[in-house]
Amino acid sequence: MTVVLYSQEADPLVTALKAGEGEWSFLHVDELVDRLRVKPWPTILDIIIPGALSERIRGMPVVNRLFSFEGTACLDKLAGARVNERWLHARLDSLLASASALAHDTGVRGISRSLLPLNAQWFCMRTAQDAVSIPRFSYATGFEESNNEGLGDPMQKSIWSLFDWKTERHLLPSEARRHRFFVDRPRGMPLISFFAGKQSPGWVFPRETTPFDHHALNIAVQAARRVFMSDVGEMLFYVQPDGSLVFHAFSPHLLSAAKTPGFSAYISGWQGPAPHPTREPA
Amino acid sequence: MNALADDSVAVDPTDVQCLLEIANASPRSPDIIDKLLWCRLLSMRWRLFEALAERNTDSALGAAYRTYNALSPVHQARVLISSELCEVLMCLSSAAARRERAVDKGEAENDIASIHTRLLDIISREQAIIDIEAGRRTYFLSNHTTRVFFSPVGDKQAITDASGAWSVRNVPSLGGVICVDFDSPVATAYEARSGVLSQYCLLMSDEEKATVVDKLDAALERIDATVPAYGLIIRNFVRRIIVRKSYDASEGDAGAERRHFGSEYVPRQPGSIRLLNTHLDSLSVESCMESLMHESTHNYLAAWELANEMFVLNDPRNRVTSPWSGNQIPNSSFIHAVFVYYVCHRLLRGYLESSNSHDERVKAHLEGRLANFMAGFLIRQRLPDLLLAECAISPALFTVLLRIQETMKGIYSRDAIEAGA
Repeated sequence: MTVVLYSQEADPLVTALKAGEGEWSFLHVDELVDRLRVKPWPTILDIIIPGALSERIRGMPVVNRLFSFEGTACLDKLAGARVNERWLHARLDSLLASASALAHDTGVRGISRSLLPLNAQWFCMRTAQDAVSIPRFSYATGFEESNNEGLGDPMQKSIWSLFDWKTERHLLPSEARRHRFFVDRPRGMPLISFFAGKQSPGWVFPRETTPFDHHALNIAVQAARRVFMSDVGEMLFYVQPDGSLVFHAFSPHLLSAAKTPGFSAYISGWQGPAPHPTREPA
Repeated sequence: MNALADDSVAVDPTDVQCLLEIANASPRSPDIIDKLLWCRLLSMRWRLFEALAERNTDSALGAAYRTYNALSPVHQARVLISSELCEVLMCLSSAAARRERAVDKGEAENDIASIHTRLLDIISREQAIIDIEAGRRTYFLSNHTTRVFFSPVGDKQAITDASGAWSVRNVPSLGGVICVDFDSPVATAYEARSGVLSQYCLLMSDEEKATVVDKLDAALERIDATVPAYGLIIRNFVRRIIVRKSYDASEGDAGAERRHFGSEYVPRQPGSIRLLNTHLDSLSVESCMESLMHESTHNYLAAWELANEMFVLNDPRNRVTSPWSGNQIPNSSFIHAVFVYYVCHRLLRGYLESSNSHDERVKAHLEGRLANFMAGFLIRQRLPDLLLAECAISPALFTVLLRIQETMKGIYSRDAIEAGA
């Protein structure tokens, strides 16, 4: 049975899977809180995994939804002992290594392939698939002025803010002044696409509907599954007047897709992750 | 532990594996360091003469050529190892590439002419210092518009008094070989891209300067005692330590946002490192040990790159998230970081284990730093796979980076710790 390891009760995928009729085995990270042992250097953190739990995961597909430990008892315990959350990922990795397949990469944001910032997402998508178009952008170093030549309508953004494209609401004061990141303000119609397993991708227009290149969407989705090591996720495109797509962002969170009426039904058609071609067998 | 430390195999300074030997402080590392320094020196001479080849069409270059050739070999070497020369040659190479591509050709030509003048200035300053020490007055001194200048390597300061008489004095130094630069134009410049030189530049009192030198001396002494080969790295690859003061303790909370520490190295100034607010009491000697080692590791890697080839070409827009700091850093900085944290880990662990009588506060600090170094290596991803580079790095470098990560995982994975216990 596929194991869903998660940390947020409001996780849209977990909610949809729990409401569906599929057979999934759910494991909240806080079920491990009493198993966490903060220890002196050099161990730092240990997890005593009960045999039954190891057996539950060994050889099984796992959906790794540990994108953030915010609000968990585990994080409270780590913070109280001044242990960085990276240690929890490091110690859980040995458990996840025994899974037969993994949906989503492991680690904190920027390290996990599923949680890359915008510039890295664009680099990886372009490298994987030439046909994918990405926005023009500039990225200054330190306090230097950004070179926005070539950007028709520069918009300052946080590299971590994936779906804010009308107004940037997540720009930290530090990012506003240092390492300034500007993107050409998107033109065209926003299109949210979501995918899960081998099903054809779903899609929705949050504003107005417009014709678009479905073949290009399929190509981009296939590339994203591979690049972001995610068997399930959502993508934001802007459809150009000629129907072509400009890829703007990928997210494993599914927060936008979950607002789509058919989302739960779509997710119920998912069988869980199959062994990933780029992932070595456990 | 180190299979590479085989004395029977000749040292090949072009082999990237020699960097791992230096990091592992193998018995051969003094020999490798020696060969690497020669390669770097020859590479800089080759680059300088490549620049001087255009001297027939440029009077500044002609003068630079004559002045350089008139220097004794020792003074030529002092010019060649200076960060200032390397920076100017890199700027020249970049401007020449722009001229070649016919991008802003007129602007590139102007830049090149201005860089040639800077090149002449660097070589002339070395000659002028010799002249002052010999009691000679030369054209350069008669026409120098400021009343103070420094040798290119930064270790000597020439000053003129009210009567116009010039004299030379030595800049404070560390270990007798590395100058600690508080006042030169390089040390007081503003750089928007720099984490250290973009900060306020406050004057430091003589007492504060002495505190900085004493603290760095103590740090170097402890490094020597812990891993002698690392002291060798610092002494051989660092020529100049620039120290910036951006916060004065008398400001209290009024300047609190400037009360932070930092250190950095920039690729265009190999041989130099930069430190921020080292004068403050709250910065410990242990922190200075780490900063010195961190930035010196960058410098030995940079020396290899100068002597051989760059590890990777950077597109400044594609940056890797550092698994240690969480910051977005260029690809080349990321490759350096793998070595840097490996070396710093080796140093601080050795220092921690060198005594049972460390102060509890020091012990907690060291263990905290070691935990941070370790966490960056214990990720599931292979470190070289995190690079966002258009062109792949060399297979040999890829292998070295992987070996470093595997070594750290070998020490600190849960199973390894249990087995050790």
